[in-house]
Amino acid sequence: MKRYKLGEFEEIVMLTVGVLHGEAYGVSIKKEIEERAGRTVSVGALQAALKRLEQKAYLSSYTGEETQERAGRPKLYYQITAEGRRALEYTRDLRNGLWADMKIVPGMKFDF
Amino acid sequence: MSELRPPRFFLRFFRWFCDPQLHRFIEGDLLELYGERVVAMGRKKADLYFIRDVLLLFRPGIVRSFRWPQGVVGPFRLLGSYFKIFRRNFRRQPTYNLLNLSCLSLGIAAAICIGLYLDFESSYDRNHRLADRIFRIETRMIKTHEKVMDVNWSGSPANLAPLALQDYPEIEAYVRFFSFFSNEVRLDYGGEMFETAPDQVIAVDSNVFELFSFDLLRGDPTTALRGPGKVVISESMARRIFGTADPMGKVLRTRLDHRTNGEERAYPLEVSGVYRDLPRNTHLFFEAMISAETDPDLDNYYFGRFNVYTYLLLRENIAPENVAPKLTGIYDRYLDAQRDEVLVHARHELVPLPRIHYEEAGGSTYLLIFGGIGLLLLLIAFIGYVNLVTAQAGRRAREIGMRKILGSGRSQLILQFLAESLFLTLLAVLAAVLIVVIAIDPLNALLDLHLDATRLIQPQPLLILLAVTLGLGMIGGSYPAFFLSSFKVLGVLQNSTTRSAPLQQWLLGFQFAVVIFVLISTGMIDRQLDFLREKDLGFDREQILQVQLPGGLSAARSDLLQTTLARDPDIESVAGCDFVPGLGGMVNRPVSAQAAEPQFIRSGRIDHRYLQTMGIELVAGRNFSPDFPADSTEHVLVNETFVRSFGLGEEALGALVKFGGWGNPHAYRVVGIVRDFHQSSLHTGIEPQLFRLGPVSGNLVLKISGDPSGPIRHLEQTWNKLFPDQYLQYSFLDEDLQNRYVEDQRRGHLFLLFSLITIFIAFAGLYGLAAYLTGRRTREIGIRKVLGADLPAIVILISRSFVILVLLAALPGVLLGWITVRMWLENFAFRADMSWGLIGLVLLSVLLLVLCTVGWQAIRTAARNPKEVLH
Repeated sequence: MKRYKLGEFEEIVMLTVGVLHGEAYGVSIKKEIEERAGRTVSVGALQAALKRLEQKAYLSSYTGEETQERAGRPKLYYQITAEGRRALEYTRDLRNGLWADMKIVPGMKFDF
Repeated sequence: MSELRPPRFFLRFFRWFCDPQLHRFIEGDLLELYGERVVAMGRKKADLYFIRDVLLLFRPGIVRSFRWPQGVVGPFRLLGSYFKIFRRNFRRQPTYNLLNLSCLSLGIAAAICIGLYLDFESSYDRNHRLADRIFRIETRMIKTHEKVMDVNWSGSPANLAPLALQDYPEIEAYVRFFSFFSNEVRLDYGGEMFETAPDQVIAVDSNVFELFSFDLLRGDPTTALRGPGKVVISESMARRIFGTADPMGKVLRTRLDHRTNGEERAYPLEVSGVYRDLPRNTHLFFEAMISAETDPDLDNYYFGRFNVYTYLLLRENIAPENVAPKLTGIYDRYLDAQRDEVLVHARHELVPLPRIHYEEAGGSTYLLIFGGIGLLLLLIAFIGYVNLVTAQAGRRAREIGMRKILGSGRSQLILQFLAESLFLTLLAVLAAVLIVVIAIDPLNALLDLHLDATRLIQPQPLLILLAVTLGLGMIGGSYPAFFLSSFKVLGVLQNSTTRSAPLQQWLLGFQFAVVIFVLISTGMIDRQLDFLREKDLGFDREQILQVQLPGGLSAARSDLLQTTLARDPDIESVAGCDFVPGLGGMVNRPVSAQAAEPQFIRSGRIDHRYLQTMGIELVAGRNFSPDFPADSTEHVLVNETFVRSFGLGEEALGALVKFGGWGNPHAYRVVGIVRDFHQSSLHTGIEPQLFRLGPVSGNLVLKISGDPSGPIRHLEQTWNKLFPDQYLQYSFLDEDLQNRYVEDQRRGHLFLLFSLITIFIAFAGLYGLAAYLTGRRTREIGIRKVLGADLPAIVILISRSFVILVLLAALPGVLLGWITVRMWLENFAFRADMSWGLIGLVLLSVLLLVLCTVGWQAIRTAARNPKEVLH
């Protein structure tokens, strides 16, 4: 069975790209994550993750329009590939499986 | 919207490091965020955020792979390009370049081997911790009452060192090595006999382990050799005798003939220690060491006998030159003229431990010769390499012209050729190391050497290799580099012929000189080795079997053995002597003749059949004979040198001879004079000799005829019947004699091997050069053929310049060879003559080889149809 490896931050980035569907480029992804997770994301960390994901072929990119607020620099849009989708599903299934099998006795307290 | 002005420096920094594929998009993101932040929180904060973002972007994945910025040609990128060009050129002419490379690496490999050999030779005895302070007392001069003699003995009197230690505080300790026994040692353990090789068992003082760093595996170093009847053996000997059993405390029995009184005694030896096998690079190489006190005579030795190897440990910072003269004082103070009538005193030299082997092996001459050969090989290989590269220049001329047009500066071209040369030498050195690693075991086996390739993996050899690589690469590359880069662009592009390089002729001439030199030297060394093999020694060496007699043999038993052996029709005659024929063992002792001052004379005992059996001629007088019963007590034979050194002349027959000084009441009369024969190796001259008649102990010589297997069987049967508990030791005299020159032969073979390599490299280089040069003249040869030149004319045309070079190189080559060989021959008292025939032969064969190499290329080129060449 093929192994999919997805770090926590990578997973969040991918899911965000999915959420933003068609509108996912650097700044929008950054803002979306910051909004939802309530944490700051540096451009560097984000770009590094995007590049890594693209290398793993979980994401693909295409060049978008050049806008004035970007001083004429084009946007680079990301979208999830089929491979990326399988990776996400694999990760989700793994988690769900683990959750399902976790024996939560009623009344049991988590050791937080 | 206002223009976005983020901090310029960081924006630039970002642009510099960012992956060019990502840079536009990320910059867009940064600018977009910056714009928003300026609006939301003001310029200052936006700037700070921008800087933070840029710095956080400086991480793997975003930072581009660092090559030199496009457009700027850095040296590393060029190096890559040079390598590419080098590879292409290499591939374009693979045979030619492989030839070049293999010659160079062969030369370097041979030089490495020589380096390893020199390293081995000069590493002797350096493993001892105190090596710097240990010196051997050697004897350089002795003064008798009548005469002063220069000698070169490595021994000294046994009682010298104890007296010196007592008198001179500079001396911290001494150790004496000596063999008080004259036979080869056989050790008996539980009824089984174990042989030892000659000179592998020695008696030694008990503090040997304090001075010398022998690695004692078992036993206590301070007490192991204290007291009589102790023996310390090597690990391999322990294994041989005891297998896996514990050797400690076991008793070995042996019988030893005492040197001074000739008496044979049994000695039980208790094993009190085992030492790790000694390394090959030591001159102190023993299988077993017996405690000195085992010798019952130890305390009775009194000057006069220089047969003990004494090693002194001097205190720190004591110069040996200051101690050596003081040793003479010992004689002046302690030598009692009543006890030793002959000796007055001796002068000694203290030889540093690490230098002993060096001097015994022929001193600096050998090291110089081999170092010289190594350098020559390197030089030859190197010259061949430079020549081939230079010759190839023409082929590269167009490339260079083109490069110049495209803007290459001269320095860049020079750099390019240097780089190419460095690539090639680096390859060659790596290949050379590989060759050494592969060839070292066969080489060791072939020449009985002990070279160790792992010695290369040390800082110093590695640095030398690196230096050689860089040196060869730089020098080898610099000539073509400067020569080629000086080409005028127009000249090369219009017309592809290039100037001929004058240096090339010089280098080629030098190569020929070296080849002639090497051939002459090799030829002369071979002649000398032949000479040693075939020199008339004054006695027969073929078909002579030599048998070692057991010690303490009674005359009756000895006679029984001899008569039984003589019954075999294939044994022509049997004789006895107390020395080893042709190999030494004659005692050196003072003798005086006709009231003249005593001289040191070699004396030995023979029986009346000895001269006849060995084929030694009698010049005057008569041989010993059973008809003259007084022969054994009153008569002696002497050799011609004896007659000469006492100046006896015509009166030699009948002259009176006395042992020791003339005061000795017992005189012998000379009844016969034997023709000089070589009792010692041809390294030294013939010494004066004196022979007395029996009783013979020591050796039998058997002159046999025909196939030796019959007599040997007879010998074995007779021996086993007479001496069932004694081990039979016999050998062929000619083999024994040959073994004396083993070291000379090994060096001869080494020299031969390296000269073959030299010649191979030189001619491979010549072949490549000739191929190239004739190739360049293909069109010219075509035209000449069309105009009517025939094949011989063309061959002469091509080879003429080479032949002239050979002739020019002949004089320096021959001279150099002559000088070197003279240096080597200094080691021999008897030398083969230099022969003109050899010189002629060498020159002729070099010419012939040159003609073959060059001529073959010429013929190949000339054989081509002009139609193909000229169009």
